[in-house]
Amino acid sequence: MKQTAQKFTKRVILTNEDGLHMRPATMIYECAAKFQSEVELEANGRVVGTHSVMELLLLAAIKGTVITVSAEGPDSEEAVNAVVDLICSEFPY
Amino acid sequence: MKFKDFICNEALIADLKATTKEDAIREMVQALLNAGQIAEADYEGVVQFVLNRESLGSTGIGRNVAVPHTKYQNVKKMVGTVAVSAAGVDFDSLDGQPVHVLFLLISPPDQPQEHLSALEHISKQLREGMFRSFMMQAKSQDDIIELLSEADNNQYAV
Repeated sequence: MKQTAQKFTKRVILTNEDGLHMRPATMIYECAAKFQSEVELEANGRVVGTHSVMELLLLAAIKGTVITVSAEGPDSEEAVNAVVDLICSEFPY
Repeated sequence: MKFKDFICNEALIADLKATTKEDAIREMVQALLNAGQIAEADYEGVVQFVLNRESLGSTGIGRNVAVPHTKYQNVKKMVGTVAVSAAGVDFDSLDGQPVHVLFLLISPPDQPQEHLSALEHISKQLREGMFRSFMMQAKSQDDIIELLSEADNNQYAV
């Protein structure tokens, strides 16, 4: 069955105390890598891919930052939901 | 945030001897100690905090780069150093590759925004292939100082 690429987007507020530091960035990178869709994060007008931790760290997102998570591909909704759930979970580790 | 705001030039290591993660961290923390940036009494504590952070997940973030770091209560101002290893360090990196450029960051516990800004600057510069390549080939403290200064002046990434 042919699957069509669909774009899916959700907005979330970063609530963990120390912001999007390296451990959360690594967790997002690992989470997004499980999906076929290309996942992107946008914050403060900056858009980054999730294929590298270095990219994610460019957001330098502090607590309270609004982050838009979007994905395009056959599993875009699942990918966005997984990343949003992770951000909402405040990155337990 | 610029490198000059948190990198201690006196603690730069152009020829890292260590080939393992723990030894590399010890060598870099020792360099900060020798440069007067941390107290001798804090040496083992800082090393253990950095190693504990590594146990949560490697800070070897790919492209031959690692950014080991920790918060430490006795540090009043964020301080860091850079080490270059020609042979490479086994750092359990995300991409499985050995690490040749290491940035060590020690931050006060109550300044998460400063830490994020430092990570942003490090990432912004190191994602540029030319800067990364030049860093890997640095042969002296002066080479590293020059490269960091050029990066601070937006020569590699704007």
